[in-house]
Amino acid sequence: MPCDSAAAGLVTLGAMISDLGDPLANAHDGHYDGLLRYARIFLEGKTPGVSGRLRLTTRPHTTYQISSATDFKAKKLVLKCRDGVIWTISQPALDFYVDGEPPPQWKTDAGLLGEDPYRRILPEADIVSQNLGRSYAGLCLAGRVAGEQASRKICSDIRFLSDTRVYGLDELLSIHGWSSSMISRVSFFNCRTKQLDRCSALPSLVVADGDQPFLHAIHKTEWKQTDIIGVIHRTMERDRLEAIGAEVIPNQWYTDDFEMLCEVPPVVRGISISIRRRRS
Amino acid sequence: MLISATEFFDFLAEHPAYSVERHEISEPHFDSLRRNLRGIVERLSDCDEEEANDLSNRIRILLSEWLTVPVPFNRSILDAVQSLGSPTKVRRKWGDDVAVLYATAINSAQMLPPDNPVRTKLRSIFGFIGSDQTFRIYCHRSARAHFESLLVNGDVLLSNASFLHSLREYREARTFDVLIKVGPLRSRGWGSVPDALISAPRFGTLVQVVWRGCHDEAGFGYDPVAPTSMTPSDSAATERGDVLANMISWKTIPFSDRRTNDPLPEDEFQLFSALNQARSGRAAILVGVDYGQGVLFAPRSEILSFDPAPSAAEPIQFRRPDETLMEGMFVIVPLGTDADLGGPETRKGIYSRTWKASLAQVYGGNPDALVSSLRSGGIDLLNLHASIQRWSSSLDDILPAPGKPKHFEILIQVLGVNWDGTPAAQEESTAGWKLAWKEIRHARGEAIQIGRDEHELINEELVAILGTHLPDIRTESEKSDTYVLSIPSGRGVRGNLRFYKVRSVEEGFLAPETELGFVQELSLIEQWRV
Repeated sequence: MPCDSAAAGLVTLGAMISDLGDPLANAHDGHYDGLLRYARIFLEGKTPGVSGRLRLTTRPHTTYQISSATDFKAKKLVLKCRDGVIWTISQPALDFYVDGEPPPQWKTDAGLLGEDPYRRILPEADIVSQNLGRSYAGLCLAGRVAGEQASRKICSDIRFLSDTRVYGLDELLSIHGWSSSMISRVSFFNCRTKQLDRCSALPSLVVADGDQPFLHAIHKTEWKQTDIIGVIHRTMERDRLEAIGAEVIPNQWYTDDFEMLCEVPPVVRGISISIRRRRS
Repeated sequence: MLISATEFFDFLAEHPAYSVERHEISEPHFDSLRRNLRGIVERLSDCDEEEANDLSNRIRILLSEWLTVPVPFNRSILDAVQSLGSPTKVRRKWGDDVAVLYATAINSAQMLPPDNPVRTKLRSIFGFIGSDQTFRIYCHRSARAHFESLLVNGDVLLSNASFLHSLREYREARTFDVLIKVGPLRSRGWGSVPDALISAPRFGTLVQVVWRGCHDEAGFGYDPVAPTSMTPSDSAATERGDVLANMISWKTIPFSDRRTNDPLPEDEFQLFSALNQARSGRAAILVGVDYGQGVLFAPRSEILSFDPAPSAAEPIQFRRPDETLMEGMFVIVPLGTDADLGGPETRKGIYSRTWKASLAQVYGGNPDALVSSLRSGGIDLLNLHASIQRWSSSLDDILPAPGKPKHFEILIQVLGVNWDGTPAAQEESTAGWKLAWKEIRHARGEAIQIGRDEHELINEELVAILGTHLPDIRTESEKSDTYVLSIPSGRGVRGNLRFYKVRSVEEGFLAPETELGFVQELSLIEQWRV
């Protein structure tokens, strides 16, 4: 990109709307495994800031503590209520979610995503209505190195006008905590703290906002199988430009993807695009 | 107000092509001055002596400035050349060939015309810029005065808005018509400019004034996605098959003041660049602060800093100089032994008290006389008064001290320090400054270690304590660009912290490890620019 912009957010929004049309794009399959993974992290006690609390979508104001009686071999998650009652829950447990993270599904109207703004942005989008009540972690925005607030701010400056109201790009991205919706279909990777906003399965697509997030994303071991889009502006120092150049040049592992490049619609002046794919 | 991405894309869409008006300047005596000084640098490049490196660095800095800044051709050029030493001393030290080059350089400097042709050209360019055209000048901060002096009696008025000094300022600039640049387009070194001038232009025409023989850096205007697609001399951006290039095209229109049969002068910047490749050191970023001073930091170091912007979510935090530390923020530096920040107390000096007390006394008696003596002795720092005040500010703090051993030796000699009461009193007469210098080097090495290790343990606490002083910090930051904040006792951390407003952040330095993390003279830091 020739200048700093909210382009990474816009690319993410496009991918998100595309995912809304995929009936399989939800967090259901890996949800219970994610809860068990979270329970293990909590019970090991090695990671600060992990409260070990879950919530229930039908009683969102009550928390349930993960118990040390949890049996990982048998895949039985044991919870302790405040009144001392012990619950053993099993798959798929879609009504339980980690405190501070989005629930996998939501049934009350107030917390659902609205279809209207997405359909207005991409009228041809084939949105699956159930997805508006289901979270998804397959799409991730790797935010700016300056932090989450900086990432949100640049997105909030982009506004979409509907008949009845104005939507900020930050709100439409449905990143957890950026909108009033309970549902989040874009996970957020904080490049400053190096933390993902949820204990979930790996993303299948990461959109990196800037050079440092891009470099971090392509070197993150867990994301080796993940598709990565880097949106990077050129108004930066030569050393940083060269660091990007060294990564995008074809090498023994990655080659040019001419076919996909040919499918890209004509770009406006000032934008350059390069696509690499893993050598087969 | 920042330009929106939409505005910028509209601007690019309206400009199918951009132009470089390249004005090439030549002046026989200046060419001769360049050639002879460059010859000295070449001959000294094989020499490992520190004095040779020192002389070579000084010539490189002089040439780099003259080739990228519209300096007036007045007595200062000759003075600068002659300050390299007396011809006799040069002959004795470096031999006949260097002495001949030096004598010719002095002669050429004496023969320079009264007006620098670059300045003449710039005046004519300013005259041609229409009143309806907006222009900006890209130059180093220190070069600004020379541009302003061009137009003292002219119709064109220069203001803050007329100048761009950094990548950040360029990034935040609105679009305009003409950009003026003196010197070649290079991404690193003296007079460097961002590649984005070419790969993301915010103006229609680049007016470039260059001395003959100074070439633009090959591949300048680098786009990491389309790296071979653009140089300003190309008539159009070539399109590679494996990328969608940015479609920004440049056309160069050359202008030459006169035809000459003289051989094309060699490119000093290419020579300096080749010499730099042989240098070792650590990549560093310069954070420029007030009074012609700056601090070199390793690129990914975490620097305690304060952001005075009301919108800053976390005003006090550790920031990286190449990422989140910006101009206008403040860097926070512990003040030597005054700050008990968890490290050992070995920075209390045995010798520093003696020489600093002597310095404070002599300087207090007659500041100008001391400065004059130090300059005669060979200390060529630009702002010597400020340096002396800093060196003598705290008797117990070893760290504020000259950066070079030669300068320190001259200082001690000029002061005539009496080392009674120190171990040096038992040694030979010249041992005092060497022991004192060893103390400085030791303290610097240790401070770096402290900065990397022990301070990490108290970082959180320090940030939290500074957070409670935020109202005071904001008030002080509004009043002054440099100030000291005292942390009262009774907290886990106590001592004094100095706040320096960040004037500039520049990449492109290669410095010894021991020179990182200290406030030093910019003129001293220049030697490590690559």
